[in-house]
Amino acid sequence: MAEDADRTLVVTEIARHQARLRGFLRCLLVRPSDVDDLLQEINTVLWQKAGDFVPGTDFWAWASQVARYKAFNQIRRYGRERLVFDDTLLEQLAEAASVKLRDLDRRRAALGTCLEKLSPPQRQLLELRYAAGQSVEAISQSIGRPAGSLRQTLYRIRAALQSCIEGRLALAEDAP
Amino acid sequence: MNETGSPEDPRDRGQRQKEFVARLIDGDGDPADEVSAELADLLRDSPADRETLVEQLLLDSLLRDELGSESLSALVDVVADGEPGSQARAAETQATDDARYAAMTGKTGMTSLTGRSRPRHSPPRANARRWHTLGWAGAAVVGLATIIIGVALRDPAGAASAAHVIQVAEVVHAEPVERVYLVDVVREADATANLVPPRDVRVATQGDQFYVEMRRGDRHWFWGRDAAGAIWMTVGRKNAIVVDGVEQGTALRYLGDLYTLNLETLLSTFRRTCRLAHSTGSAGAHVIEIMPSVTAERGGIRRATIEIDRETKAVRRLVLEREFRWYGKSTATFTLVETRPADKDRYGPHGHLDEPARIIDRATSLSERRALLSQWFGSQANRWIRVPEESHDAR
Repeated sequence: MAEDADRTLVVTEIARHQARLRGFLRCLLVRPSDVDDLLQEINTVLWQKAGDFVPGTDFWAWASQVARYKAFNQIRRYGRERLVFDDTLLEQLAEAASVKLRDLDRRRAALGTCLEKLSPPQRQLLELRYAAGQSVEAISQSIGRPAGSLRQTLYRIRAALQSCIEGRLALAEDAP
Repeated sequence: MNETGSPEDPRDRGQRQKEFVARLIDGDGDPADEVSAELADLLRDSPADRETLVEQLLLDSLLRDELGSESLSALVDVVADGEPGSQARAAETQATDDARYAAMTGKTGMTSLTGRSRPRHSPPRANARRWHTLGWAGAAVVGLATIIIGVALRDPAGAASAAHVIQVAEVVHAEPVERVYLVDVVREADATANLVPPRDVRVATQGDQFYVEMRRGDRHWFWGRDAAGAIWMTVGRKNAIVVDGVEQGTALRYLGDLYTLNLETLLSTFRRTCRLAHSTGSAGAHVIEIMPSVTAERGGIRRATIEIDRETKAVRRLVLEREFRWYGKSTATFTLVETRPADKDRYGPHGHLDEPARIIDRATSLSERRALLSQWFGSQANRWIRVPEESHDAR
């Protein structure tokens, strides 16, 4: 019975940390299309290793170690056919990602508010890119702007959103 | 140092870094190897640049989560498979999957759902027959009233005006009769992303009430939206999750708006606030073009076409062209496929569940409900319930 309860806990935690795990992998894998495939492999491993997790301890610390191990192995396999970041750089990126991901839920909540502050053209571009799922090249053709210029605009929009998110997180921490 | 051996201008370096990151993220998954190589060179000795890259990548991931359309296809397709995640089925054995569900349902106090792959047949409910009888009796009475009202509202010139036709339809749709519409939604996002999953979506309506049945193969599930805006969704035959309006994430709100059919209010709104153009239509139906005078912020209707049966006075086809913030344009076509007695229980979750049923609402913790949604509707469904900004992060 106790084992069942532990497994139940792990299942719940796996589901709860999907966005965090996906974000973590996104920081390590160059191609976004690789992320979901690897995420499902990691989910399976976490499930199979559920018995290793000690209830009451930090699930994210455990899961992110498993994810890191699996990701590095996968990236090494990718490295046989294409150029990938080396292990040292990956370790550095993983470390930076882990820190940011600890408060992912608060970042997500702040993002909702920050999106409201974008100008209509900025919102429209994000809508095309993320809601409609269009490639930058497709957007470029439909609105007649160079793809390189659009990528820079998207970069700036994300930077503005990032700044807004950090501002809101800082504000929340300062609040009594 | 640059290629010529002279010290590198920090502005050039910053610009190069931005270009590489932009190409890495928005190069649509196939950045040239040299981008990775050059970016790696820049990142190795610059913690600040690494942090910027991580921030951009995480934000990209969050934006895909928040604004992406995956959850919509998850609702249509993934739940139909009864699998806990859109890709999980490829990675896990059925035995593991069943155990996972059993564990999950145990956690939430539910019975095992491992029999979910069998075709489901609703057991007869005690009050179904009573409603059936009352429904048809009521329909007969109201049908008669409709004929009388229809005659009374007839345009003196002999040709009913568009507003008159709609007004009669309002009365008809207030009858205790359930009309079922097959829904075909074409979204701009689907067309551009080649994302048109196979689906059978039907909306049952009576007056202002509605519920939606989504089906693929022998699997199906129900959801609806109550008068207060809360969305309920069945998860198996024993449980339903309720998400209040204030808790609904962007994707769930969009989904609700897309399929909601409060026909009585919609017809009344058309008649009172829109420009109506009465086309000649076919021999059997009035066809009315509807142009909203004021675009509603929610629902986003840009244009509508409605076909009202000349004999029954009921809406037999409705085409709504809408534009939703973040999700772009969509055209939803509702086609009448069935008329049957109304069963009031089915406009709430209990009417679709076997007893003992459990309604999982705000009394259940946010994290538990999000976890359950993820298990049923795919991992991205956890964003269907918003995380309040003031809440603390759950590790």
